Amino acid sequence: MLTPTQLTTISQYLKKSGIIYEEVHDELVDHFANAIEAQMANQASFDEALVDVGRQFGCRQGLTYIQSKQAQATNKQYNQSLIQYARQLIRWPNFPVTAILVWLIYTLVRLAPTMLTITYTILVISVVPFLIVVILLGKHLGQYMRHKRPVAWSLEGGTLFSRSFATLSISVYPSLLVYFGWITPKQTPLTAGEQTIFFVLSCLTLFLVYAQLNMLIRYAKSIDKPLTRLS
Amino acid sequence: MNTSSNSSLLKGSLSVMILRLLEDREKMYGYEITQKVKDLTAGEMTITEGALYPALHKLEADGLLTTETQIVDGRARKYYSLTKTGHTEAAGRIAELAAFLENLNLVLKLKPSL
Repeated sequence: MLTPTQLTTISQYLKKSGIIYEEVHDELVDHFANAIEAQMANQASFDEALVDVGRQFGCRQGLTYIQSKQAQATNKQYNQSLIQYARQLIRWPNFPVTAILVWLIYTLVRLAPTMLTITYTILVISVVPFLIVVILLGKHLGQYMRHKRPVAWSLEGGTLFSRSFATLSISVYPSLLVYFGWITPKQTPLTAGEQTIFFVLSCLTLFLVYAQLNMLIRYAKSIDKPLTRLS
Repeated sequence: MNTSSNSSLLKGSLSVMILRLLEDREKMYGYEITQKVKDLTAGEMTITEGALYPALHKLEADGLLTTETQIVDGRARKYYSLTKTGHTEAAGRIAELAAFLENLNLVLKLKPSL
């Protein structure tokens, strides 16, 4: 069994090789440790074994290739989760609740006095997951600073950060344009066409917020219990 | 058969091999999979790590595998297991590859015509 110092050496080797995400790092540390232990059982020294296992992975190039592929897979997984949540919402027994919510959004959009009311409401709702991600990423970073986590960044957290920011942007950009006075929104009630556009936009944003909050719960749980304790 | 010559042949069947191994065992981790393949083929076939992990992550993203992490010997070990969809998909893909191999064999064992 490897000593904590040896595990730290593996961790440093990986970080020097360009591994910056925790999910990739943790999995590779375990693989390296297993492979090195096997070589050490055959009388190899730790340092020799580390270099050899690194070579088997294709050194820096091979390791970062694995990392980039995992980043792609995480993005794909996010999209797959979205599809799954959408399916769940339109399937029995959730369908009646979804239908009532959609009807509620439709009614609220029709009742809205101006388009700004809707934009600002969407803005307030979609800022929630983004703020939670920022807090969680901060917590992750804090644990890294206190040596409770070996790596500062996580693929899952990073994906959720960029995606929740994208959702937030749907309402942030129009709001900014209005704020700086570059566009003047109509102060009159919405026409039927505008109502349709804002209805679709509201449904889309609320769905994304719902899905992101669900995924954030999973990420929050992984932050709650730091997995590796490497100094 | 050495590693470099069979690596391109392995590429297409790697995910099927992973699915087959996980059908047999409840859960496995990356290093364990490489060792199992080595053992089964008496060292004739080696899965390169650079191909294994992207394949595992792709299967996970496709919803065929699920993961859980456990602390073993002071490090986080990520175990992969088949999802419900994974089980169904595994059976189909294994049958497909087996049928392909059978046909490939028929062609490879072609007797020279006189």
